[in-house]
Amino acid sequence: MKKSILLLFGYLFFLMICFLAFAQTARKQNGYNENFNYIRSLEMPTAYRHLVLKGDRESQITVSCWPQETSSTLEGILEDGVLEQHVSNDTLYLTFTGSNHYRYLDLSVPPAFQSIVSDGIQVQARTSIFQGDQPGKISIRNSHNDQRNVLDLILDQPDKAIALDLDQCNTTIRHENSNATPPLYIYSINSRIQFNELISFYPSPITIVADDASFVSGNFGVTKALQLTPLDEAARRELLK
Amino acid sequence: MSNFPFNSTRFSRLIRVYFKENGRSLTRAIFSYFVISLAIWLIITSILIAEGDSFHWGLQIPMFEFIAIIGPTLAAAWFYGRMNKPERQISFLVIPATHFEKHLLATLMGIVVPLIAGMLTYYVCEIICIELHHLLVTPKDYYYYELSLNFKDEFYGKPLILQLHRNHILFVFVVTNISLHGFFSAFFQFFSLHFTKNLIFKIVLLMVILTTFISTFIFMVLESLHISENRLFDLVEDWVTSIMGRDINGSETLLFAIPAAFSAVVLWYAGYVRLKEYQLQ
Repeated sequence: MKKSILLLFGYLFFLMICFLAFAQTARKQNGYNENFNYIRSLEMPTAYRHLVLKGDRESQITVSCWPQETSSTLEGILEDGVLEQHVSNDTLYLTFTGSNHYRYLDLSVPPAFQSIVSDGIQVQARTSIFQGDQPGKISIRNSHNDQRNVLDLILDQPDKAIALDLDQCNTTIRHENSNATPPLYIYSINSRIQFNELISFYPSPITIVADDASFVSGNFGVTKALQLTPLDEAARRELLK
Repeated sequence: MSNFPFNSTRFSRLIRVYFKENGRSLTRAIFSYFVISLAIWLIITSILIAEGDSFHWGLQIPMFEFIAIIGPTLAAAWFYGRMNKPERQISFLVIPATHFEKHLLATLMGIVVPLIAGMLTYYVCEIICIELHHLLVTPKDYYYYELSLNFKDEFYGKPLILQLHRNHILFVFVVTNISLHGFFSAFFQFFSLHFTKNLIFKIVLLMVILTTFISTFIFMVLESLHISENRLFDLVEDWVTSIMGRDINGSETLLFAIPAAFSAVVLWYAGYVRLKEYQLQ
């Protein structure tokens, strides 16, 4: 065979090995999914949301509020008029008031600060990952024990709204019929819901019912507008029936 | 002819000869490209202004992709398709220069010159349209909300190229696009030395087959490791963050840019090896 073609095949093989190594590293590091060192692309709904960060006030953290970007120390953020916040001891309470002006918010913390912050973020208490694997199929898994498919729920009533309580179980919803895409309601009290951007494939409205909106994050781009609705207990039970 | 594959005097003479033979048609092609690009941009801008709307600033990204990247890539495909004809191949092979110099000349004329011409065309068109827009339209706040990219405010009313030093998303976007241009052009260059007839059809077919094969492989790996592709992007972001000391928005696209740039270099070298094989046949 020609030398140039051999060279190309060799390179392709090399690229495959590199990709395997890279994917393996990505799997092992778990930096994003399980340590929650930073929270990003928090969609700003009309409802308020707040995060609690605990850390050194001297440390630099970056808050990007579209269309403005602020890179500041904790003290600096306190002076910023964009967010409402208050500090008690070394804990920073941030409340993001939703408005059209700040629809997206990226909150990232550099490595030096992450370990301190990750301990302080309350949403770490329990962790659930919500993943949209493919259109019409959504699964939820617990990131602590990495278990999937604890409970399978096959939708046989496409017209009925689906209600999940993440605090009760780890659940997989599977749509046997690709046309069955009823509205989806997800409840969370203490669980963190991490959205995969593939959730944007889900064609029906998705309503998140969470006591603390900061539990919900993910990189869902601009294609899916998730509704975040704080509901009272009675309404919640009604929906869960 | 010395043994060293590159001689600057000989190479500059080669370029001079090339421009002497093709200078007029090259200038004509670049000028036509500029006029067509400007006309398209002006038509879109005029329609938007006439409708009292303004998505003009949102046009910068797609226009950059079409004028500065996709156009030059198609030009590279056309250039290597033209080079592929037997009579041209023979005249190219008998030029009194080394393989390296010939390969460098083909790269310069097929990849680098179209890219520079595309970038300049884009830049001049952009300046003209921005000035026209400033002249005719008063900016209104709601324009900001209509665009989906989050760097729109920094971007407003200024040429894209002048934003690169302070807008990381834009910088990474441009680097990624240039890498992809390099990759696709080098792909055409390499396979133009292998296929003799129906070059573009064969290359597109090959690209489809390779893309299918590679994406199947990628998704099989991701599925077997039980990870989503987002983790790969996150890892790239983490690496960039640890290198730069801060989070760089949009850095995840380097996942495409780095392999594309690296592959372009490998393809370029493989093309050089192939050209040497050609001479031996």
